[in-house]
Amino acid sequence: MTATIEPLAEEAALKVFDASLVPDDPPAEIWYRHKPNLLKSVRELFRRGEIIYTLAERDIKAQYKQAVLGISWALLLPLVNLVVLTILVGHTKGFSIGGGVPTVLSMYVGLLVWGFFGGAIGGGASSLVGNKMLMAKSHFPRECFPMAQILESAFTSLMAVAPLFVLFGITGFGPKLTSLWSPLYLAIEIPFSLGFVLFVSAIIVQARDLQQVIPVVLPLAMIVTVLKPLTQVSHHVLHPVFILGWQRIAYCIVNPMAPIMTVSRDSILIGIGPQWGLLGWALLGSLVYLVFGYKVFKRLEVNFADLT
Amino acid sequence: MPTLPNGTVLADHVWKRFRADRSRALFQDQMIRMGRRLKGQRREYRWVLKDVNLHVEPGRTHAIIGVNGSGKSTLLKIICQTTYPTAGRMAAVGRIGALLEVRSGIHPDLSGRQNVYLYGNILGLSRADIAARFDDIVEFAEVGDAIDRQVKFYSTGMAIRLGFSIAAFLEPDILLVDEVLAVGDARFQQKCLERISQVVANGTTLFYVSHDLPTVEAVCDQAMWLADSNVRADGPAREVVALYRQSVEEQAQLTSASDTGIRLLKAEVTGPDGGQVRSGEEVNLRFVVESEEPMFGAFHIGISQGTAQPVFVVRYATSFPEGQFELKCRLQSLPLPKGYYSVWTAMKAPVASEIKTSFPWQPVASFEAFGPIAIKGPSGVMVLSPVFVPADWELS
Repeated sequence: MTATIEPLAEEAALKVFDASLVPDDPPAEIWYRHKPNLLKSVRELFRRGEIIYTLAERDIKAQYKQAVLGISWALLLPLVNLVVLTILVGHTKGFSIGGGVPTVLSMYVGLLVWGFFGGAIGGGASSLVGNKMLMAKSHFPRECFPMAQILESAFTSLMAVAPLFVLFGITGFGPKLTSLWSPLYLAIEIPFSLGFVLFVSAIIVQARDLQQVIPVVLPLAMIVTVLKPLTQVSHHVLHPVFILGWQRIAYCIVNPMAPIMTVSRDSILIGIGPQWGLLGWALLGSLVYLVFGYKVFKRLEVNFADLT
Repeated sequence: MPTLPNGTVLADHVWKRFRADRSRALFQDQMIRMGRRLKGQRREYRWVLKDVNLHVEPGRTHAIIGVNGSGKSTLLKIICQTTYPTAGRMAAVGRIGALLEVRSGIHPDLSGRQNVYLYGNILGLSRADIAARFDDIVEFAEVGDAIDRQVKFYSTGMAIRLGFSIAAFLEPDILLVDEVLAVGDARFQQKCLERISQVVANGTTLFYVSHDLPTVEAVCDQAMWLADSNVRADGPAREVVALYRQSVEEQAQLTSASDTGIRLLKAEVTGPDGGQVRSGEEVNLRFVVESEEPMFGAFHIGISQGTAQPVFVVRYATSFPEGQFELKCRLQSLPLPKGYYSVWTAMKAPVASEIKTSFPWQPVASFEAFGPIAIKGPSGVMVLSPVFVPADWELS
C-alpha cells in the first residue's frame, strides 16, 4: 500500500453503506496469497523466542505437578522400554554390537537417542491442536508450540541419562572418553526431530484423527530403529567415508536416526570417535527434513486458525 | 507504506470466507474433499465479511455491533491476526491484547501467577515487564493469595477477573474485548469499564464487541454496524447505534400478527392535540383492538429504544368487550429525551385458571420524541436507558 493516510477528523462523520453495491467476490488483485518467507519467519521467531521457554516450562511444570511419581516419571518410560526390548529379544544372540558391550547397555543408549526424537513427536504432534485456546489469543509464531515440545523432550532425555550410570554400575562396564562427542550427535538429531515435528503437527491440524496413529506407529518405529542398527553396525563401523556405497548414503539421508544411533553407540560404548562420513550425510538429511518440515508448516499455517 | 503509530488499526478492503460444507478436519473428510476436487467439483464458500474498511487511530474506542452471525467476531480475529483475511489487507500496529472468550488462554493446570507470565509472554512482553505490573494485576483481579493456586480451582468469576486484569494491565496498544463484560457481577463490570476508560486515556485503542448497546454508548466514540457480512454503517457511536436500534425495530414490526382470537388493528402515538411528541409533555397512545369474545385481561404497554427491554411499562387490567374497541392511554409527562422509540405491547389473560398470553410482547408502533438530548454519564459509566428528568440546580 502506497497511499498516504490522512488524519481523521476529530469525529468522523456517519457513513451508511448499501450492501447491494458490494460485489459478490473481491476484485482479483486483492486476494490474499500466502507466500511464507522462511528467513523472515526465522527472524520473527528469534524476536519472540522467549515464548518457547515459557511454553516448555508450563508443560513441564503442569505435567510433573500432575504425576504421582513427579519428575521420576521422566525416567520411567525409557526403563519400561528397556524391559520390553529385553523381553522381546534379550535371549537371542546377534543383537550385540561387539566389543564385549552388554546388550542391555547398547539398547539403553539406543533408547536415549530414540527417546529425544520419540518424545518430541509424541508431544509435538498434537501441540497445535491442543493449544488452540492460546492460538486464539494472539499472533505469534505458531512454530513455538512444536519447538517447545523439542525443548521439553531435551529436558526429559537429560533426566533419562541418570539410569544409564546405574546400568554402567550394574554391568561393571564403563563409558568411553569419546562419550564427550555425544552433544554433537544430539545437535544433528535436533534439526531432524524439529523438521519432523513441524511437518506432523501441521498435517494433524488438517486431519485431526491422524493423532491416533502416532501412539501406534511410534513404539513400532522405536523397536525397529533401536534394534536394527544393532545388527548392521559391524558391517560399516570402520569404513572410511569414500567406501560408503550410494545405498548407504541414501539411507543416511532418508533416515538420519540410523547413523546418529550408530555413532552414538560407537562413541559411548566402544570408544570410536566421530565418523565424519556418516555424520556428514546424517546432517545433510537432517537439514533436508528441517527445511521441508518448516516449509510445509508455514505453507499450511494460513488455515490453522480456521481449522482448530 | 508509511509507518503507522502503535495502536493504529487499518483495514483495507478486507474480505473473509469460510468453507460452506460442514466437513471436519478429519482424514476421511479430507480424502472425500480431495476426491471431489479431482472430479472437478468446486468447493463451496460462504463470505462472512465483505469489503470492510476501517481506519482507527491510537486511543480511539471503536465498537462493532450487529446481530449474531454478522461477522463481528471474525473481524476481531482478523484484527488480532490470529486468522488471515481471504482478500484485502489488515494492519494492526503494536501489541494486541484480546479478551475474546472467557477463560480462553487461561491454563487450568497452572497457577494464576504462571498464567500471568505465559499470557504476558504471548502478548510480547518480557518477564521483567510482566513482573513490574504483576502486583497491579493481582490487586485488580481480587484473587489475593489464590494467585499461587491452580486456576482450575478458581470460581468462574475469579478466572474471568484474572483474564480481564491480565489483558488490561499488560498495556497493549490495541485491546480487543468481545462480550466478556456480560459475565461477572455488576460491581466488577463497573470496575472493568473504569479500567477500560483509563487504558484508553493512556492511548490504547479499544475494539469492543457487544450486544449491550448502553455499554457501547458509554464506552465507545465510534462504531461499526455489521449486518449479513456487510458494513451497514460506520461513524459516531451514538448515531450508528440509533440506526441499528431502528432496524431491529423495523424487522420486528413485520411479524406483529396474532392468531389467538384477539388482534391489534391499529396503534398510534401522538403528542398534545395530535401534534409532535415532546419530552416532558403529554403523550397519547391509541390502540384499536378486535376480540372474538369478551375477556378479562391485562394490557401492557412498554416504551423501548428498539430492544425488547423497555425503559418503562404501564399496564391496564379490565374486562374487554367483544368485537372492536378502542383503548386510549394518556401519559401526563413523557420521561424520555430526544430520540427514536418504539411502543411494545402484550396482552395477558387468564384462560381456564391459567394466565395465557393473548398476544405476545412485540413492537407495534414507533415515534420520534423531540426535546433535550440525553445526558451522557462520566466517561466509562453506562446509562442503561435514557430518561428525561427535569432538575433544578442551585449553587450558593
